[in-house]
Amino acid sequence: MERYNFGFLDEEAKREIRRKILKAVAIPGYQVPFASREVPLLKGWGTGGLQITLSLIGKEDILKAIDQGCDYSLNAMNIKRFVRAVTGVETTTDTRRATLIQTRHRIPEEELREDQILIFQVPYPEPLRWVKASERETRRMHAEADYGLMWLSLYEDMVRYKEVTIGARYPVLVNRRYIMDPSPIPRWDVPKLHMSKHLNLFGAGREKKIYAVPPHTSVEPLEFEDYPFRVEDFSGKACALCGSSESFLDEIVEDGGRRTYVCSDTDYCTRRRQSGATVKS
Amino acid sequence: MELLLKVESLTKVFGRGCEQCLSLTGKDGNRCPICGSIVACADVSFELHRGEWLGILGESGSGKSTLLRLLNLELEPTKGRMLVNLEPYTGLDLLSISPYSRRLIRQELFGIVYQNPIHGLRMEVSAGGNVAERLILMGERRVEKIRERVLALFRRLELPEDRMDELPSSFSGGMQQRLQIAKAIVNNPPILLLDEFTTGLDPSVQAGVLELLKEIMFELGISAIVVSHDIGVINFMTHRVLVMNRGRVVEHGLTDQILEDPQDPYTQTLVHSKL
Repeated sequence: MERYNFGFLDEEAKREIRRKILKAVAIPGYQVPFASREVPLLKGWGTGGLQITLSLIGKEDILKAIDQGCDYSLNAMNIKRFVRAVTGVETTTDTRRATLIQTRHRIPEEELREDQILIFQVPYPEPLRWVKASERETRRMHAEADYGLMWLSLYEDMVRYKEVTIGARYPVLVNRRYIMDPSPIPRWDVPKLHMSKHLNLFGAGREKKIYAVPPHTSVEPLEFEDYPFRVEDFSGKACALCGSSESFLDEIVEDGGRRTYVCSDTDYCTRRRQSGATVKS
Repeated sequence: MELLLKVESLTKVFGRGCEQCLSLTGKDGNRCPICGSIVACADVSFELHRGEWLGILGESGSGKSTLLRLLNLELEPTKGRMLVNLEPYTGLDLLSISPYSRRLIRQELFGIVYQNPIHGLRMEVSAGGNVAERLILMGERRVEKIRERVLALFRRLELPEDRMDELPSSFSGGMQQRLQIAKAIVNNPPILLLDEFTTGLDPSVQAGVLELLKEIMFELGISAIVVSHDIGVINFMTHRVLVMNRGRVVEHGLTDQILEDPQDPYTQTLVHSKL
């Protein structure tokens, strides 16, 4: 692997991405265009997140990668293996030990610290794409904070269905200025972005955009006062492995149609079991 | 009367533009013979007072619609200033500010009704949603309150309440214009801009919409700029009038006076050509 530069990307590319990250941090929620490079990963499989990871990672860093909360799924395993190969850094599944966490569609259950960076893989960075197809128009709308159409789509949902019909990718207002797509995290994770202690970086490789939610920044889901934003409801359900009723649960339909629930965050679940948590029966 | 809006030498040249554009146009046409640019508005200045209804009369191509779009801050002017006398914007030139502030100020100060409902309404959004948009943008976040206000406007404008959640494309022409009016006045802006808003309606509907609108404007004490080629509309709706031809104001004064005793040859033709 000596044929490759540390972190695979050349130093110029890393510097460009770091400059774009700085701009993104300076303007919370604003999508900064960047020169997305080719990396040995298919576009749509986390190339944006990977480029951010590769441009930030240093020899002392410890990397964690998750795919919908899981440390062991194909996407997460391959990303970790690749980064190990081109940097030699240590990887971990332990949320508490990681300095960089690359994630596909989840925020760990464990609250992150100031010294940790969470890097999101983003398929569709443009929250206004729901309501406007033209990129030129959506850019103008962001520049002028012309968010009437976005609000109207929520209003129409209220009128028709008495609630917002968006599941994952719930649009948020960042720092009271830009509407942002938080990537397809469940609603459950949206409140964790608000005033978080850690830095959140979002990379969309195919769409060539980087954006950020810096620490201690307000992130508010778009909502009406009389129809407040709600997270997924797991009341009466608990993890079949660790018994947790405070985590985001994945539904598993077994043969015969029986439904069980397990923690989506595998590290959280494993640690609970190691410390003696069991299923109450 | 108290001054509300002061417009100074508002000019719009479509095209490259050159030094001679203004001096070489106006008499025979408004295309500059040197650079080929179109002078749509040249040095238009006027004042609008609180509660005043100002008419802009002219035939097609006289620049009146361009003028209205400039006033609505939709178009970037080539030259000119637009000052409001209204706190907290007193003394601010609305044409010198960023597009971001311009949008905020525009939605607070102006309501506009277009000739073609396609320009004024979002056809893919429900009728009620169209009216609600401004309220939401101004910070109202209670669906109940929004719907109360929309409903009140539907009643006032004699729109069918039970069709509030239907798409405006299913509405008749007269209803679409009344819906545009509801949308324009939902947040009580101080200035209403009307662009040929009765053209395309049949005469009986036209009379009804005009009558209703006049009543509402009177109730609200709103100021208005009424653009029309229809002398009847100008006569019925305005106190004062500017007559435009080839992008220039050729005559201005009290509506009665101008229509009774026009001085400018162009105005004379216009007034006498009425059937």
